[in-house]
Amino acid sequence: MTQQIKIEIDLDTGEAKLEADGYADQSCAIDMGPLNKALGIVKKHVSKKGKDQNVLRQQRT
Amino acid sequence: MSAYVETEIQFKDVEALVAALSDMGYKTVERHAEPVNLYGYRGDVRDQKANLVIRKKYVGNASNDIGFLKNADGTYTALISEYDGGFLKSKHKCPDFLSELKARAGAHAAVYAAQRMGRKVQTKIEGRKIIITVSR
Repeated sequence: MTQQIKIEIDLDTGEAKLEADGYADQSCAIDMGPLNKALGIVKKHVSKKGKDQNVLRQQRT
Repeated sequence: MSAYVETEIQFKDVEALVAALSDMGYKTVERHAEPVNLYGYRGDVRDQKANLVIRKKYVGNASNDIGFLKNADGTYTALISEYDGGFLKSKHKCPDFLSELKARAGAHAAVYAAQRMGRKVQTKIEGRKIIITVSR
């Protein structure tokens, strides 16, 4: 299970880079949907627990 | 008179949006359940209405009000005049005001989500980058 994630957001380009436990995992443009992308990052990498997934689903509505 | 440009922005989290505006120096943001009219730089009432409003006096001397209209699906449409589109880029020394606003709002949304999940969150600014660290 991932212990730490690091999100680096470039204010000029809108690009978000992600590291999960020190490993570069993905790079995604958050320009068109920062909320969903940001929550998606947290949802995917911070927790795999069902309880947490439910919390995220509520937040995304 | 500078025409308003409507730009749909994708996020729904109004708290993240207001926090991002605050980050960029706009501490006074009117919040209305029902949209209200915007005003032009000469004090003229404009046809455009918005739920979140930054009055022109907080934007710039020759500016119009800035607004964000809540859409039926919960997302927001930014209402920024053509003049202010250019003015805000210059004022904030950024390639695009809305792009920066959206990036900042996305950062806040991520922080809120992690905090609600009980995670430890650290945020810092390095130059033109926001670094968010989320840990157990």
